[in-house]
Amino acid sequence: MCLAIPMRVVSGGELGAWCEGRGERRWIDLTLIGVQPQGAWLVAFRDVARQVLSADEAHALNLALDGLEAALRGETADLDAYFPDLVRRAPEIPGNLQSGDGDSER
Amino acid sequence: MAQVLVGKRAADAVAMVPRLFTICGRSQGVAAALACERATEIESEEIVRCARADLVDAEIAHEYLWRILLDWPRAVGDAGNTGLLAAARGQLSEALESAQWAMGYAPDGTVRRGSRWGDVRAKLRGLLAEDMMEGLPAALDDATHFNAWLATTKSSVAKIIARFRDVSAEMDRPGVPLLPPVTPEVAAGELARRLDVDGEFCAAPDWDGSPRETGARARQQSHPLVAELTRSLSSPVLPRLAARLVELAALLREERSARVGSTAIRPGDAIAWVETARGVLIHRATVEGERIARYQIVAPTEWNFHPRGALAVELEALRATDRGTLDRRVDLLVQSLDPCVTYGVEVGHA
Repeated sequence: MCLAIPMRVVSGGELGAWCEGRGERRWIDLTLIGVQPQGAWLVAFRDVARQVLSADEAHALNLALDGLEAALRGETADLDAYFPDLVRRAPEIPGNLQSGDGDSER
Repeated sequence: MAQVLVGKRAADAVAMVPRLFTICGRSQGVAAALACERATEIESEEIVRCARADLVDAEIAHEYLWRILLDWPRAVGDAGNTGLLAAARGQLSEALESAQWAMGYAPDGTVRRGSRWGDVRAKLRGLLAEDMMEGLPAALDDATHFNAWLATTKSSVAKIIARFRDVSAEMDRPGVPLLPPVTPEVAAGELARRLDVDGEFCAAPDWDGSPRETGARARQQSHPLVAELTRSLSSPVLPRLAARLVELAALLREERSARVGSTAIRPGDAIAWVETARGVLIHRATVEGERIARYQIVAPTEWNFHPRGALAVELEALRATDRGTLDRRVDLLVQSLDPCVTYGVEVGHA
């Protein structure tokens, strides 16, 4: 299914850059979003950069993908912790899952 | 993958889906909202339905323009038109932003505002008119006009498509039938039954005993141009490209094309479907209390890239006398089916 992974610019030039994300290192074409500084986050589709992400957005997406991997491993507990800004807190959610749950994107 | 949604409140699950499935995020989000709202007996208002249809249409336009201006040219060794694609994406992002409020579960009425998709379509028509759409949509009436367009137009897109036609001319006819449209009756009947009893259906779906092709060619199978090309050519590659042009031209002509729907299977249990750029996307939500008890997703890629599906059958039929020709044919074939992930090709010798 159409998953996208956040990639971080390691080195590169105007047309493309070596980017790393979730254990992958790929040459990403930057022509659609323009040159990006080292450390910038982006999402690519078939090795063409599609959009620039803020550090917060990249963190949220990485955390969501961690959650997906945890679910695929069969873990069922604590999955809310992977979506801290999206999952509404409820009285039965243990307090330790609510830490760091301050800002909301949506 | 949908397992991650189990145990969540319906509203939270709907918010999580577009983040997880970023590439077709709007279509995924709309499908999740429709399934969860139907399962919890929430009827959305007309303004919400319209904004969601705009999101799906704008996302389809975005995906088609990416294919036509970047992926198709690169598959035949051309650089593509990234400048035009970047300009079009700027317009499309305005349209997508303006209707974003409709993405969630039972959207809040106080944040509603008009979608800008109508204005953006007009701007896109102007932007694309000269280089890309020159001669369209008249050339899409039938195969005679289409072939004449390929032969004579100045459109850079026509030149790219002509190369697809030439390379695919000797490829063999496929053996995978087209997926019929999902209707409320089909969804509540056979589709629900398969999702209930067939544990493999989400990952490797088939219909009436065989894998099916989904996407623009299936949706446009009765369009005169697509039907004629399918009948007369030995390969489905060109009909697939033509079907996308037919749909893009209709989108830009302001014809409402979004095909979405939902139906209840039983109380707390519903199926939703959204026709996306890559084909039909199906979400099934079972809600108990206010939480998701079961969630199933059948993505279009699972139909077209089924182990015995369109790609597999057509790859098996590929023949070439040299590696270069084989590689080009494989690329064109894969591009015509539009995978949502990066792919690589390895060739073994029998």
